[in-house]
Amino acid sequence: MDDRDRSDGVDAPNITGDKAPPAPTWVKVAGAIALILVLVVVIALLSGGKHGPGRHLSTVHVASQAPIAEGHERA
Amino acid sequence: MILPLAARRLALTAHVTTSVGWLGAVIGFLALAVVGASSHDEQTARSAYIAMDSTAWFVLVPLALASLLTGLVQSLGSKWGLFRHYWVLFKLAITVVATAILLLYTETLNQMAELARDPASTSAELEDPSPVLHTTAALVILIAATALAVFKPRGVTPYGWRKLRGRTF
Repeated sequence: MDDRDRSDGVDAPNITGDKAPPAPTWVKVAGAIALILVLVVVIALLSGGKHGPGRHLSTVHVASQAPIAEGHERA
Repeated sequence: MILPLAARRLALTAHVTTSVGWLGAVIGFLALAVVGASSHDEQTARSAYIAMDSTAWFVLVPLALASLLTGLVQSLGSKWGLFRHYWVLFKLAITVVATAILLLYTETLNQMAELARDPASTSAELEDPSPVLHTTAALVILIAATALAVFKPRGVTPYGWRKLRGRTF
């Protein structure tokens, strides 16, 4: 493993050539994972109807705190 | 603007302190969340939810905002920049998303604390796995952010590549 001190951003990468280098594999993998997670959250939000405090409270308490619970539906 | 070495070291110290402090606070918060969701003692569960609400406002939110702010200073004040390296970009995205979700979730925690303070609420109503799930997710992404900061995996963005080329030629 490269053990140079890179704490100040001093190790400039290879910048030869006319085109920017392609994104490394770890970026593609991490990007794909992030995209999947975002899709899962979006699907959960769309299918669940609402996400927020109202979802975590019982029906009785949601009913008794309707103005507050409604305010959370936007979250 | 590149900060002087002493200022960069100071900014780095502040960023590491607040970021690792945030991670540690999340671990402590997870303990409270587990107690709140699983304790058989009703008073203990109520106390856990009330403590979670206070901990979020007085510990988690300040540390999250401080981590974000010191991270911006640290990256903009050094040669790493904010958009030049993929690892910095990912870490910024993680911090922004985690802070935004935390701020939104404080409303949920406030509701849970109100429920815990309500003597009419039952122990069944108090048991809620939501804080455990959210805190576990936060722990995973904050560990990922810490690993990015330690390993600094290589990879320059197209913007960073253009900046580096401009500096060379």
